[in-house]
Amino acid sequence: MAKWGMVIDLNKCTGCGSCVNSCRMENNIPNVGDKAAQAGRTMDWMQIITEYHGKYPNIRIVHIPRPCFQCDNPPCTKVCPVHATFLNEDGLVGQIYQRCIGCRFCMAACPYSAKSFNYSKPDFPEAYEKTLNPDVTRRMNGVVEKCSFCHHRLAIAKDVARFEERDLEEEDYQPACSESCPTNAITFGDLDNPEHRVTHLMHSNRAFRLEEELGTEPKVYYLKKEDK
Amino acid sequence: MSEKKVISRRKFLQISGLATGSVAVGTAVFSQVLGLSEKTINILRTGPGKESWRVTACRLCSGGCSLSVKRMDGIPISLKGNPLSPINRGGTCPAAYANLEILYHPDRFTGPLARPDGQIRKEIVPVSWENALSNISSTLNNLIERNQPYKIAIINGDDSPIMQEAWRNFANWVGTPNFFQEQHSVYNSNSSYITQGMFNNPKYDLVNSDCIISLGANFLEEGAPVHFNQVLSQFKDLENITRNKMIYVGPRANITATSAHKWLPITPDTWGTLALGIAHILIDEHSIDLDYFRRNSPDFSDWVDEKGLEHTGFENLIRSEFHPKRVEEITGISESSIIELAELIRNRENPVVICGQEALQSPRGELHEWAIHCLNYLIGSIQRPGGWFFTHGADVKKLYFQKYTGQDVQNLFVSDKDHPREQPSLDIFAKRVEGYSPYNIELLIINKANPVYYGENRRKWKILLKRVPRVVFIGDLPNDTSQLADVILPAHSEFENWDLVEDIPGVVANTAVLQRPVIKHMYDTKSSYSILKSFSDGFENKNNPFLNGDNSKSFVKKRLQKIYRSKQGQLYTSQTHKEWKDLYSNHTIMKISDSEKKFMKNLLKVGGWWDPSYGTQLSLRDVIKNKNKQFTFFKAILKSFQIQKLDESQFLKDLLAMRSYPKSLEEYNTSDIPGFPLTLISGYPITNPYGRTVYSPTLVETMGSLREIFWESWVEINPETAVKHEVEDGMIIQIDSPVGMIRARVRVRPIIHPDAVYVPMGLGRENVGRFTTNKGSDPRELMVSQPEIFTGNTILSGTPVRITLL
Repeated sequence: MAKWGMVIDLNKCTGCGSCVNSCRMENNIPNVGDKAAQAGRTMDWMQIITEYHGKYPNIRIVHIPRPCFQCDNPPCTKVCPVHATFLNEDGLVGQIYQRCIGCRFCMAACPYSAKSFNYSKPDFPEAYEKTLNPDVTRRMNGVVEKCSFCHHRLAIAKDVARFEERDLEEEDYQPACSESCPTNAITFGDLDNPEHRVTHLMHSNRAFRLEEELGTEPKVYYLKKEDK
Repeated sequence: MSEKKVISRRKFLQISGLATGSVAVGTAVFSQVLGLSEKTINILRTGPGKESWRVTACRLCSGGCSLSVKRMDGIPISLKGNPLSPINRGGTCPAAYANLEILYHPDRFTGPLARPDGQIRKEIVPVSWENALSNISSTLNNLIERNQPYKIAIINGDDSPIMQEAWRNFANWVGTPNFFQEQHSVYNSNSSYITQGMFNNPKYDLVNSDCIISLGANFLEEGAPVHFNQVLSQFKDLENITRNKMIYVGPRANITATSAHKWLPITPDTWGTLALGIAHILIDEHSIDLDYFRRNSPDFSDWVDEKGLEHTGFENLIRSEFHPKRVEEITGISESSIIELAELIRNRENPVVICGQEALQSPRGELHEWAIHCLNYLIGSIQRPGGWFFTHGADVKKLYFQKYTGQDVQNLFVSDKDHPREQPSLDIFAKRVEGYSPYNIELLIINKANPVYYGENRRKWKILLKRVPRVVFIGDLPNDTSQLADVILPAHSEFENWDLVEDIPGVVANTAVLQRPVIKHMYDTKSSYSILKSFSDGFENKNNPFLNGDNSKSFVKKRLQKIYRSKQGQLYTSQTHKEWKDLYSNHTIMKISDSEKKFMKNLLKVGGWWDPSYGTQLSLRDVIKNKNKQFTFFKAILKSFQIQKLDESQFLKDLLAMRSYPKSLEEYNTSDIPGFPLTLISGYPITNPYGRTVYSPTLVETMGSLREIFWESWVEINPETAVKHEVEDGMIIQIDSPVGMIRARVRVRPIIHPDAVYVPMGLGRENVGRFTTNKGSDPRELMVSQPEIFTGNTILSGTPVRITLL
């Protein structure tokens, strides 16, 4: 069984936001409008966190793209009273929207703030209904949602590979964020497969995971931004 | 509440069987019998959608990205970067995702509109294409018959080289000199003219460089952003991580500065001084072969002109005026940092210093580029791997057009130049029309342009457009200008159109990116080419010599045939990272080997053609077009300004070493206006190239997300400045300039020079559809009408401002 994960090179990430917008398009993430956005209720599954180190003029800026870390030991699944969030057979943290009761315990439990809550019914202008991805369900208000590593792409890739009677290859399954990144800062693949580039990168001496001491075993690694 | 239908598995299968087997019965009957919606029945009837992909080009900026568009039953639903393209290699910028929201925008023009005849300023109403076109043709014919074709003016905002040439030739053909190409952000460089006697923008071979010093070149956000992001990725690959260095020098930490190894904040508008400060160290320490320059450049050493007058040479000017200590006082960059930069250049194999829009769009813009150009010449970074390349950019045009050589009409609009290198520009045009000088314009055709927004002064343009009796607007969406038009001719959206993207700014390789429709046009619209052809077909006694295709598709095909016949380059193919790097960095010479038919057929599949060797075979001598084939440092620049003084170098001393304007140019000096202590810097973020993604609600929502700002503009302020002005993060403040006022939310960040404030451009627009009209503020409202001293281009950075609490 593959262990799908991601390595994000902070040295290459420019903070352009391509991953954010490709994720929005791929996963039918709605715009929330000016008032809700200003109240901090945007629904982005991929967010870029900016950190400033040092003082002007000796400043070092680090952009940290933050998807769901698909932890191997996810705190969110343990607190869900209705088993709406769970570790699925592919090792990814799944979310069943129809089962979710909107208690937001999982949001509180996630140390990475990777989940968002639908405060209102997602509003897609009629003209843009056409651009919705038919492979991804639209969420209703009152439920929690989060990055799925574009799990629907994995389902399609598996079907194609099965139909062609071959194993899944590295390029078969890529989430939208890694596919669109203009600097190739996001590398995705099977963390257990030594043939995949991602495995080579996760063993780099620059590699680290966020809040590793919590024991959540996140499957997203970062490569430290090199010093000046 | 409506009753919910629950369908069992058995019933579902029964319905599916019935639906597929009984198409002839019709959906209406099913709807009635089963009580299901027509949409559900249609899905059951047709089964899942058929997925297909089609390649096209992104036209939101000039970067030449090729896109793969996913279609379901022929309807575009999603997109990604074309992995075969050597320009974007499957990557996209965040703005690319606006393309679909623009295509499906509910406020698109769906048919021609016009104001009824004789009621010039009345409500605009729908008309037929026939009426709209015949009306314009009769106005055109009338002006030509009266021998007054110069009363026709054309403003073209289409960046495509072939469409630019088509419109330019149309202007030549009808006999008007008044053709204006709207410049968005990418200004043409003049430094090559000053030093080398040729008009070409430099291309940057960054992929082969081991040290990039960027003086105001935000190359990860401007020109060809995705391509240079790819190059940066290569630059920072593991194998290069300890070797390569990148330094960014600018007043604000933009995306390029953030990605650099070091950001050096500089006082706005002083890049040229810094470049000459670095040159000082290299000259003073004999790090360069001074004898070579003394032999090969007539004005490197002191020189005597034909009248016997003595002049200070470049070497002595630099030695005497640009000592690092003095440069530190002007630029704010410490002497030790300047020495560090010089050492970096000296110790690297392929260093390059680059200049970009941030520098060019400041009051002394061209002088900065000139200084940086001279520095590159001194360090041997011109026509050398890793440096600047000048290619024969004009060849691209020669390949497909015979220049029209008909009636020669004097270009009255630029005959009395105020600036040495002034080109016909929107602002010059506005200035002349405003004063009814030298003649009135009776017909103004605006193709995909927006002079009210891109011109220097919104109010002035509005008045001006009202003075022109007939304003024709061609475009797909309403904008700040279209609301003032008398006739609106709806054009296809870019995803419905054929075109070619060529001559990508800054990219060494030559490329032709195919733009083809990904959907049949959805409304009663025409391509801009077809509209142009309709105009020319409407003439009674003229055969047009240049519109050599029946439609835009055949027009594009003719250009592609020329490319094919050149036999140079290759179609895009699948490449590994290593193969791409090898081809691109070695500037490999490739030849087309396919038959023409196969070339055309495959081009539709792969989306483009490229030639990585283009222009790189030329030597330095090949790209110096001065009479004596020698690089001149400043003979031409001084001659251009017609300086009468004995010591001409005083002019440069004043401008760069003293940071003050000579008497003859004092009118440009707005930096010391009392009461306005800060300098406004501005620019388009990567999320909103040239302000074009403002139609996309998604992009407007995410545009400021790095600053945690949504759906509004923001002003970045240094913490030191914030304390001084008692401003706090999150406040809404007022920013005033001598000519205008805007409001924006404060972001206090240590990423900007304390003497400057930054407001992004692109928001605060008047007529950009239901989602984003009047969202945010437009910093153009603040900009003092201060032209760049050499070209007269509108400057976007450098306006003096002050901030006040509300």
